[in-house]
Amino acid sequence: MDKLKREDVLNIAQHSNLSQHGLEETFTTHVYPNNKDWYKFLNIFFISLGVGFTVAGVIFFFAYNWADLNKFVKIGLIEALILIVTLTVLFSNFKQPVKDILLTGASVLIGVLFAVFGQIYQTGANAYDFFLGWTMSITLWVFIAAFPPLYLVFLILVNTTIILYAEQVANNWSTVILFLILFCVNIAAYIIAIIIKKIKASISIPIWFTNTIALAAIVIATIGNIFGIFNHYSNEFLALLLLTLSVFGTGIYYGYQFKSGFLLSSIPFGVIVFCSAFLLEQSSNENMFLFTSFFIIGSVTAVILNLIHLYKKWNHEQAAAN
Amino acid sequence: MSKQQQISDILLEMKSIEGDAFEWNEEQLFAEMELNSANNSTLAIKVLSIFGGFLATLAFLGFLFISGLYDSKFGLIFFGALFIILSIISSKVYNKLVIDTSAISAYVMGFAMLAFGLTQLEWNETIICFFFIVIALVALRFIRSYVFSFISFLIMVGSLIVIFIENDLYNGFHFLTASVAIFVFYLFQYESQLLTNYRKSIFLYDPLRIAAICSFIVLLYLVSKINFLNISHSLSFISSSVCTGLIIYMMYEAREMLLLKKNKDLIVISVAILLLLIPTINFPAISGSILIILCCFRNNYKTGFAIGVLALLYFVSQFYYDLTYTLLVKSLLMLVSGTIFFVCYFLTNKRVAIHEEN
Repeated sequence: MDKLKREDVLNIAQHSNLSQHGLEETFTTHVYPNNKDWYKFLNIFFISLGVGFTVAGVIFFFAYNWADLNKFVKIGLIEALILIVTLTVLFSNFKQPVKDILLTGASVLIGVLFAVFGQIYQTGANAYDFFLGWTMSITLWVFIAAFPPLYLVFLILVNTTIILYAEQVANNWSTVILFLILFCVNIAAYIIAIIIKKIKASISIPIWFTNTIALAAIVIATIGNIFGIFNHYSNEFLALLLLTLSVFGTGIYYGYQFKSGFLLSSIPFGVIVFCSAFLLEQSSNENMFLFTSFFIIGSVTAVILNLIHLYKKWNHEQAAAN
Repeated sequence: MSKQQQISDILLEMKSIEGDAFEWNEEQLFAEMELNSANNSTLAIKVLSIFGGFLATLAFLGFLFISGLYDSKFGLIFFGALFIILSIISSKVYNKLVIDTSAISAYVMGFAMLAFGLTQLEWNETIICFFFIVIALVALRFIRSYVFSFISFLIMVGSLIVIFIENDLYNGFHFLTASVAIFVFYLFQYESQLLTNYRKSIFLYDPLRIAAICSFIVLLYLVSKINFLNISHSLSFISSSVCTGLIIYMMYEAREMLLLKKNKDLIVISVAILLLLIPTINFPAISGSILIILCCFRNNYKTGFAIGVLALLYFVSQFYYDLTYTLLVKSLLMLVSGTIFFVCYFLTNKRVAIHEEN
């Protein structure tokens, strides 16, 4: 039988004389995790904490910048660690999730190696080329491992590299151009993730991962457009606005096609936020603030109304299909 | 299988557990199901209502300040009270998700205006907060909306925090945190008991649960952050001990699920939990967020679980950041913790292997 929804059990409890024991039994059978789920959870919890704390310990160890430690020993130590972890991933009998978590730890250690290199040769720990090197070094692992948390680490690195490049090298880039580039990169990542999900069933791409990238892209586009609105409508802003509108439009279409409540709520909310910024940029007198307040209430209510209507329709479709 | 069919099967299953005494009101049950389906409230809709409500409130506060209405204390009190009353009435009369955003905006705006107005009337802050708690309680009595109840619970806890601050009851925060920890644990561990004892108020359980988690995290932050709000850390052990005790008790309650049948195993694990959490005795946020994660996992509550994981990540970073040791000592502490977690991993794996062999 399908996993029973918790709200259905609550509904039954409310309209019957179900005893405490009966409710507990129903929850235990249909809603709560069983012992296999508990052990799976504890396994992932412990290994993640183990790898997380160990990698953090290594980072702090090198951040201490122990003067008595020879530079070759420093680099040698971290390289040895990376070797041990990657060889464990390659030749051990651990289960796949454990190997994936270990490889994610090794990917972070690569960053430590670059940082230690930067520390010894005084190239700076936040230089953009350090992050670029780090990103490029783990690219192959990222694609081979096909592990969503590692994808996320990779995307954070790509975004950080671009931001640092804009700060340190491309001084002529305006804030809007930076947001335009970040938006393009994250949207590209989202599209690639969706395509992989569609054509390669063997690679698991969870919904939380695609939703996280989509949310990042929507937040970037919204902030970028607000910057553009308050910075005298440059040409770059026009490009960002056109791209945002076309991507958001496509996103909404995709949301309708594939029944994504997340896209159909977060995209309109982003639009509402930057439209409110546009209204307040036009005039900052009290009437405009009052109008904006009503605009937000009205538009959010319209979005919710639409979502309720859609969920109802999708539920009926699903019931008919069953 | 259709939803109705699934529910009918479950009802039969329940009858086999409960016996012939088990009765249900099929008409009301399916009517409620229909209403729930029409008001299908997903997380997206709830978040949208809350964010939309707060954004609209911010714009409205901007209007109040610029227009100068802020100076008219009686105007603020009158409109504040009116907004709260209208929001409660509209939510009660319509009971539809679609009016949530406007009702919540009006509700929060009403509280903000009342707070400004009453402060200008030079009311004592403690009395204003008690007044707010009473209003929120009255609102809870009348409305059934999830988001509305959630905001009301938050207003109550927020008022309580302000009362503690205004009256210099800084040590009281430790007791408040410990009490909220016990409350959160009770809500999850005795879910079935609460739901069957308060059958008529079942709809309040879910918003209360998420509000309790959010309040608990805020309180953990307050009692753990160094040099914040003059809260002394000499009493932090109170909430830490309560959280650690609850984690051990929870493990004891779940012993069958965790395949821990021998007393020796239970004692070893209890000692291990104690040893792991003793170093964080002055920083209750870590044991507190672990308690949230375990409670939410136990009851399969995914939103709370995700909030707990994010809180744990933040609090662990804060814990190490606040330590006054050198980076080298911190590094060794982390490596030791990492090793202990690896050992825990191998032990749980071994237990599963032994169980599967049997």
